[in-house]
Amino acid sequence: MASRRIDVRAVSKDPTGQVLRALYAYASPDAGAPCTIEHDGRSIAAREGEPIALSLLGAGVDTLSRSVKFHRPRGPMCLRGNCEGCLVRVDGEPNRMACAAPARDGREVRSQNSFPSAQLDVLRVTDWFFPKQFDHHHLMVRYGTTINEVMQSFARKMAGLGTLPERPAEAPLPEEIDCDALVVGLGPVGLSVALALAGEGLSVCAVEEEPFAGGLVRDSLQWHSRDGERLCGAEASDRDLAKLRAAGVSVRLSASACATFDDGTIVIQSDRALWVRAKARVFTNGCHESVGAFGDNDLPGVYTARAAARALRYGVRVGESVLVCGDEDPALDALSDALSAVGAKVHRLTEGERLLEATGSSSVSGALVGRDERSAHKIKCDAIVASTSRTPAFELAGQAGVEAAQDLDRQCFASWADELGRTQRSDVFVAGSVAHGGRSPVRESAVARSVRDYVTKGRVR
Amino acid sequence: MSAKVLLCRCEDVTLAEVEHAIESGQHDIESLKRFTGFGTGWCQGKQCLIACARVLAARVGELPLAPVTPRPPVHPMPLGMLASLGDAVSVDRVASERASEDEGER
Repeated sequence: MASRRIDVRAVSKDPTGQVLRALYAYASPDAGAPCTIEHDGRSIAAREGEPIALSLLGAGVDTLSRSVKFHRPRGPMCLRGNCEGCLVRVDGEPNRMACAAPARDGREVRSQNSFPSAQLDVLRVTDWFFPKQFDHHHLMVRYGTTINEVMQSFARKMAGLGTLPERPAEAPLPEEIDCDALVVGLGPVGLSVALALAGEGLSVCAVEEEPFAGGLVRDSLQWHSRDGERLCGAEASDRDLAKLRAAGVSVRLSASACATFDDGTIVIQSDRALWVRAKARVFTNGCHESVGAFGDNDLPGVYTARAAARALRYGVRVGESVLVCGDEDPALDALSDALSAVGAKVHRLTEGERLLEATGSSSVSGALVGRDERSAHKIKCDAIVASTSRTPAFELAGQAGVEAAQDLDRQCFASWADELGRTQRSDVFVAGSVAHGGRSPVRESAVARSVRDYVTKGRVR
Repeated sequence: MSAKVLLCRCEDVTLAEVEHAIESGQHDIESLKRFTGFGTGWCQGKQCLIACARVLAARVGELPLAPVTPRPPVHPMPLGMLASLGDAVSVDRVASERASEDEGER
């Protein structure tokens, strides 16, 4: 397959220079030393430290895994650790997300749950055997017990993700952290709230599951203003992070908060567990993204808008010919312009048209679009960027006892909090897009004062 | 071959399967989850919960009042790492505290 690496010298149609600037942080010739990883026995050129999923995509490999029941081909969709599409075996360890595992020279990446490989998996017949669904409630009940037993033993052998690791896992001793406030999620809101909390004199621990801070700002392809300077998303986010560190906040990157209890929060940072005991917990962990419902929406080559923007930041274009569509979203225009600037042919839908189906056998080779099934026509493309409304990541705050309720404006569920970030739990606070009505601007300083009031006075409403 | 619309990628749950479940009487989001298995896979419902809730809303008229109960872990974690927490988390201590609280209430 053709390389999808972007040559920064060939960028054109970039009048304000913002695409080049966004690219340059990673795609510049001096970023990340060249290295070689191995994928199913094939050598792949990569850059030290970039996500393996993007090393592979850069080399034109977009089918990385197979789905659990139907063995449908899958590839990275979200590129931010929220889907199952890029699960691979890395250096003998099963179920690593290729979007979160960094490339290092000599790393061995292998397909799992497929035979002989994810690209060509003969178990795909399962998908054709069950054309609509896999009804495990009624499957097999009409056959005799012998056939049933044979099928069950087969199904048991097939079930599960990956096979056991070659070596027993090493788990270093956990780190215990005591602080006044734990901030989960360092997007723009989390960064501001954490900074304001440090300004209130609190000891703050801030965790972010990605290896960098900034959230949507970091992945944006627009200019951001900081200290009177015009910066790209990555630069602006790095500057915000530097301020946070300078203010004395203990910042943990690549650190996923997995579970939270009254006594503490379990955070997994790279290869080690943290046990964080905080007087107050603040959830600013934003939203999930998806591609929406259309035919074969799980084909490799279908990406969220954010994934496509992130790939660009690492110097990879998701396709040569890309359909960009979805809910009204100004970011889609910026993404389309950027994809054009790096040499991709961009297709957009006309008024009233929608994406009906992704087509292709092992990855996207086209899209069926139209007003309805009858007027549908086919677009030839090798990637589809489909954006839908983002939905709040209410789960962690929910574990902490914060009610998640209907947010009818956004047709989703969101964590219930007042405009000061307070919830029905006096020690738990929620701010930003994860909160109910999260579209309105949040006053980070007011949220920080609510937290300070609780921590210093123990005030219970 | 007809295309499948995948609502839950992790567990391969299709739109047809969710519609069939709703037709067979699973009219609340928790029952729908138990019947189809959506949201029980790798990502724990980060993409599919809202997709299934919206399909349900289209059939029964409104989005459910609340989502399914979120349970830990929200992000996959190796069991070895959970075990490494050992004494720090001290499940026994938490359990004994809870037990004494229950005693007090009686």
